[in-house]
Amino acid sequence: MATYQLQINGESRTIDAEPDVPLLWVLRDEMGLTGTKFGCGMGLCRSCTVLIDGASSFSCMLPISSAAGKAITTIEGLAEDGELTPVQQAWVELDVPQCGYCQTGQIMTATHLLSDHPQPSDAQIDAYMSPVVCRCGTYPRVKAAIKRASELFYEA
Amino acid sequence: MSQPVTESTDYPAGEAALPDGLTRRQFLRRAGVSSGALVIAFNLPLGRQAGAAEAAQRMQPNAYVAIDLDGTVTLVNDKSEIGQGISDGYVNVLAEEIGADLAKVRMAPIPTDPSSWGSRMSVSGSRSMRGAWSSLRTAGAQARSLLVQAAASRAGASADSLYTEAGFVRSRSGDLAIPFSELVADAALLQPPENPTLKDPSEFTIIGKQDARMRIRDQVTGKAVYGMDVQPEGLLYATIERSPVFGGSLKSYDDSSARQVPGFVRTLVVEPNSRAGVHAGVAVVAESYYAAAKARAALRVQWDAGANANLDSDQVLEELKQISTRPLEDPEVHGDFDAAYSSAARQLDATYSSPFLHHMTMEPMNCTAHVRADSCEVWAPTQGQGGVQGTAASLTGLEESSITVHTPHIGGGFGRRLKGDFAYEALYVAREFDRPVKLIWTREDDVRYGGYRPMSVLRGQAGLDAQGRVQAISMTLATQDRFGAPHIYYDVPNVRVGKNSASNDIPTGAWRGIHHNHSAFYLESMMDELAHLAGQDPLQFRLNHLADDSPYAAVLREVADKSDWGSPLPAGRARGVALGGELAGTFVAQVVEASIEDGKPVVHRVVCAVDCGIAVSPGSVKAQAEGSILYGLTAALYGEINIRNGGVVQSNFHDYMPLRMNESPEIEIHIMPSERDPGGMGEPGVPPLMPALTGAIYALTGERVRDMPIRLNRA
Repeated sequence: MATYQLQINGESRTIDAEPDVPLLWVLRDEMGLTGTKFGCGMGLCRSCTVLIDGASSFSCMLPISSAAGKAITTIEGLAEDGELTPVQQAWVELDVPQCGYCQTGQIMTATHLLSDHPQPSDAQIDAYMSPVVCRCGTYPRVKAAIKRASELFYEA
Repeated sequence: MSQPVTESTDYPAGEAALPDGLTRRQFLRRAGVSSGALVIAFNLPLGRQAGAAEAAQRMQPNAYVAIDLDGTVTLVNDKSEIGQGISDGYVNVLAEEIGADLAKVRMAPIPTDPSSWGSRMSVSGSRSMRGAWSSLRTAGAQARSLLVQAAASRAGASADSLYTEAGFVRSRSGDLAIPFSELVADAALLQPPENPTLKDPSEFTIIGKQDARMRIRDQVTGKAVYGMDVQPEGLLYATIERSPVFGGSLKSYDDSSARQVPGFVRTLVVEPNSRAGVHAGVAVVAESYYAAAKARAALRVQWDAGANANLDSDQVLEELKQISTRPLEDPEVHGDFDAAYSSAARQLDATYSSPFLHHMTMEPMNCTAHVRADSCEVWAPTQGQGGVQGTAASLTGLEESSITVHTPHIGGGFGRRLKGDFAYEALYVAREFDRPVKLIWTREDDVRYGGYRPMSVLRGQAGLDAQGRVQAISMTLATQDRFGAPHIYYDVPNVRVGKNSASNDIPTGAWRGIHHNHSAFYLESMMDELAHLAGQDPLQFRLNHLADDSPYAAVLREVADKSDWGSPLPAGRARGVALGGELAGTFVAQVVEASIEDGKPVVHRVVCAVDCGIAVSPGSVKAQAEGSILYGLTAALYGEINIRNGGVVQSNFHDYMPLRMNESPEIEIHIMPSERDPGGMGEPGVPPLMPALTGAIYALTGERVRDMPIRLNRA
């Protein structure tokens, strides 16, 4: 056991954990932040995506010891005071989710994409989003929602 | 499915038999409805008809519409949301008939007491809307009629001069508008009419036009609680190491290293139960999931492989090929196939195959259970709550009435969650603890211990006459699949079809679209081959074998039109077309536009025509069709489960490949106008994709793909 300082959604949290515990399980089981999902445990599906210093990262293989001290944003940390981000608004507007389980990965990765490329090309969307697996088949709507979110950024 | 199911024959009659002796009012209060609300009790037909006991209770109320004093409309019913959008559809139907404000209609949480609820709760077979359509409309129309009556007596107007819209009763003359909230108390005292007048479809303003979007906000903020996310106080975590061979048994195990892992609680043996689909295993229970996983990795287990040590899917394939050449066990016969085939001008004789497939829901199997001395709570992401309750009763010895089944959000079903194996295991382990236990399957467990779409082989023979008409078709399906035999929907005078059964110990189950998938691949592939043999356009050839007024012909003409069938394409691209057999009252045709890049098929565009009767919630219909197309495309390109040495070779997304964003084609869904009662949409979009794609590949390369998944230049 060791003690780690984590910056989660703008708050500082102290956690006692084994150094090799993946961030995913600390978020879910220790902090109750269950919006970050377990899908494969090997970084293959990206349902567990969080933002670390703004970059989308898969948390299922990231040891807590490597996450300490960095700014971590989970899906719960996107909307402030209940106000959805443009990405979330676009998701609602275009009715993107079906079962919804992968959507944390889709939304967090799209958030990273749009911060790097506010008006992404199709190729950029494919490059950022292809690691994020959906089995319900929401890809066409994810793609359309990213473009809509891009518009909303500029309208805001 | 194979889980133990406890038949309850003691069904509720009226108020006294409601769960835990609740009165209807108390029950509705639990669902968030206040006393004084206007309540219509009605019957939604059961998910699956399973015998006389269920037939006898078909007329028992098992659903409620409540209009509260603030005008909020609540629907209490048993259909869980697995991403198919059924809540949107139900809300649309109710809001339409009542004339409610769509934004003020809500779904109560799924009831937690399947047996008392009076139906065997399950969601499958694309039947949720088909089953509910007329009951929901009638209940909504009854509520509307009472509100109108209440308004009529208040205003001294005739009921005929009033109508409802967006939460108000209004007069046609325009001088009266009373909100539902002011009428509920009076309306609640009236007796609902037995045969209320339903709205004419021409008056619909919500059905077919709007989408309720009931669940999206929680899904985009991380607040939706899936089975995986359930965290009752004092939770323990479990993971199970199972026999690597189907049907294998435990010889011995050593957990001395596992015990050293901080947080380890204990191990226990899970006895196999073939009826429940449960494999022999060693469960590891710990204070955190990570500790349980780490301790599991430290187990040393000796297995006895048993009879299936050499079970191999390549051998199953060879066996099925053999079986497919034998005379049919129980053929369906029209005309004289042999005579027509032997005198045909041209003959097709081909063998096709489809592999085992896994569902690969995004949320791996899991279940949480808390077994107490006198009661039991289960949190089960399941498509079959009734089965889970029966399992809990048989494992704990408790009465069903003491067992509460919570239905959390469900991260995909596709048929996998009709099996109750994960709930059985969770309950089996949780019995040993006085704390709640969450069983989590790793992705590897999920892939290796599924209920697979069975492998099948089809021997197909057909004969054309000199004018290019199909005179004879024979289809001999060889499979262990318990679902149906091929069905020929084209006009062919001499037909012989059926199934020769095989058996082995590879666990199987329902997979989105069930046998319609391989049936469509086989029949549509044969039709495509025959079209080319006849030197005819594959789409026109199909139309030539369908009546002009058939719904199959209608979706084909629609998809031809919308895809510009026959128009020139860029070099290196071609189109393929296919139908699927009628599924859940729905007809689908698809045109796939593909090219070959680096020796692999790339799909650029899929145009899909759907006749699903009245499309209640068009957004959900489109979403289901899009999802079905990508589900079918994934299977066509990558789907294959191999069995070697009695176990599954694949283990995770790297070797059971999902389709990804960069491979996702443009998709267009065209819904045909219809006044027919709604059909199902969860599955019918899957079957046409594979044969449409292989048709495009043939048009492009001259290579006929007869074996799934698609591997070009296999020979």
